[in-house]
Amino acid sequence: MNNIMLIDFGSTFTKVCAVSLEKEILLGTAQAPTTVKDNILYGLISAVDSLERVTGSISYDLKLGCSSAAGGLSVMVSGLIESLTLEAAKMAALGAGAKITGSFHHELTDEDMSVIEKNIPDIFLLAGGTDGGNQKIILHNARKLASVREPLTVVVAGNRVVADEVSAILEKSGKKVYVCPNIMPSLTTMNTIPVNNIIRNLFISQITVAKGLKQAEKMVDQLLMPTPYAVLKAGTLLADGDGINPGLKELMIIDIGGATTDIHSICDGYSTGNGIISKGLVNPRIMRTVEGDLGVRLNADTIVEAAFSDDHGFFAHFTENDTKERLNSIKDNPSLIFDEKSESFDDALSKKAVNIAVKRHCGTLKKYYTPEGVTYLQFGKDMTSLPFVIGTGGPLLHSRHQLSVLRECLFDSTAPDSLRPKKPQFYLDEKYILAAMGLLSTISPVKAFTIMKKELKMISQESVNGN
Amino acid sequence: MNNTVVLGVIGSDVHSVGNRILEYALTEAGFHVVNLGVMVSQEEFIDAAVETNAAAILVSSLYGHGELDCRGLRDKCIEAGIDDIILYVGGNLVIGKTPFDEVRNRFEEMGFNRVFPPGTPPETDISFLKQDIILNE
Ligand code: B12
Repeated sequence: MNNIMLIDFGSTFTKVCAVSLEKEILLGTAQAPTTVKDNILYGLISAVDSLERVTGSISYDLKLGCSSAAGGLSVMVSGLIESLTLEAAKMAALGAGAKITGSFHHELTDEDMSVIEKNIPDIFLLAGGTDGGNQKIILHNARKLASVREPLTVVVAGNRVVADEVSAILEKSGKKVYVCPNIMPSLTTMNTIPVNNIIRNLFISQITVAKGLKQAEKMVDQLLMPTPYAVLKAGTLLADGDGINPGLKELMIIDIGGATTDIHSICDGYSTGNGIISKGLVNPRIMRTVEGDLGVRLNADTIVEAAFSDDHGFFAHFTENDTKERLNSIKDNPSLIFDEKSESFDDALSKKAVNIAVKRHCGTLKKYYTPEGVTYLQFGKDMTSLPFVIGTGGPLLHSRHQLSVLRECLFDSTAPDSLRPKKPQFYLDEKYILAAMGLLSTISPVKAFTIMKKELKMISQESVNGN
Repeated sequence: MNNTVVLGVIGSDVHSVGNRILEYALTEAGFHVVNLGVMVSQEEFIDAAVETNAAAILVSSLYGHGELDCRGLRDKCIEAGIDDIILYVGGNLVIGKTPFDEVRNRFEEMGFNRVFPPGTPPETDISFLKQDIILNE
């Protein structure tokens, strides 16, 4: 096997990436707008076209794909306590590459049900209760979901004592039910991997069909996973190494997008200070968070609003009218290409998005005054000593101020409670290959690792300051 | 018998030794112990008890602020739908030279089912706990 084509059917662009396994190199990359409404293959064909205009024609031994087209993989989740089983369920769904379109805790109400029925998700992840713990909620919620008239796929990952009963209630009403081990078997353990796996398998076996992505199989040997999962896989490979070469150990990926800004981290995040007590749910080492309100196109107005409300100065050199005008032009044309000045407007949007998204992803330190003096409680992951940050995503890759956008992820001494990286080395996924390398890692982690090491570009202050 | 109990040291209290001993003794006695450790807020106790369907919450307070830290715990339990859960408290609840009977009264008024004086050996609370859980079921 030598030449491999890796395809990412993205929500706006279909990206292709050709590699030679023998030479361990990237042959080329190209993209074209995704065409999910007509036939997803049109976009792919034109992307391949523009690729081969550069590389010449290539014969491929294998074509692998991932997708976030047609709305991605939508998952709604429910748990009992917001900070416990619901939080665990959200983490599991996000880790599988899903987009969370609704989240609920305690008993599902009639109002919740109307939200669900209006916007039936690809998968409903039903959690609640530790093993041997609360049974009432998950049984109640199963009965509620059973009343949904539309077809619904439910993944059950709650209290194992009632798992059979829950699944029977749902099956009786014709729902497709998949039972997983409890996502939170005890209060101190999270078991997200089985849920992760089943969600991805469902995505491949059923959801791609429902979304008209099945046609892709005429040109793609295998559609393997949702795109965000492929990115997470690439990150994990980079961190852990390929089995022969050691990895970077710990890292963060910042993926700025038009619709969402995603942060992936691979690190333990144990506290670095003395006498700090860890609290709350222990976050997984491999963790993804998605900020659905921080897409630099779809949510440009929310981002600007947030920037103004905390006086961050990102938009200082734009007048109010100027800002309004630019927001309107983004609204009218989300795939807008910017002139000089709007480009820096775009950078301001990206900066604010990174700033907020990384703050939400990283842990926090809270100060408590006790009779003995000050004590600190840590919630989430301490990433202050994180060594590497990798930037990706269209808005970032098109920017001419990439480093200053990425630097917004840094620890801020005026807000020391947010445990963001202090001195990471920055890399850029310049050729936009992370998802492709996640796909490639399924057949050859060594080659994927080698190619990433070649293609990710280290950026330091000097090389960008000139812009 | 539901043998799940939630254990922790309330408030800003960091005395961890007794907490570990209690966890050990209760586990040995056959309980499923959900130990939240030190510096546990009322909300954490309640969230843990709801999610694990615990039969009892065992609160420790050693550093002298127990009364302040424990006030309102029962009311919050009622709010969270675990009205009948068994609440125990123990440790160094005596502040200054207050007679223990008085302290016990105060905590019982706050809704604790049993209040233990300093130095209570774990065997004592364990035998009470088993009885109370069976009676409560
Ligand atoms: C070690 C210690 C510390 C260590 C704690 C280290 C650690 N990681 O645990 C340090 C130095 C940090 C410390 C700090 C303080 N301490 Co100190 N500390 C002690 C000391 C010497 C021993 C505590 C201990 O471990 N005992 C052994 C364990 C096994 O016993 P136990 O905790 O009482 O628990 C048993 C029983 O009480 C019972 N039990 C406990 N909880 C419960 C709950 C239930 C439901 C039941 C049934 C039973 C039960 O079962 C346990 C196991 O058998 C005591 C004095 C003493 N001799 O008790 C003071 C003492 C507790 N500390 C005290 C004080 C005031 C403080 C400080 C405020 C400041 C200071 N002056 O030192 C700070 C507070 C810090 C904070 N934020 O919490 C006072 C409290 C006074 C009061 N309550 O009125 C004590 C009593 C000393 C004193 N005589 O002044 N302390």
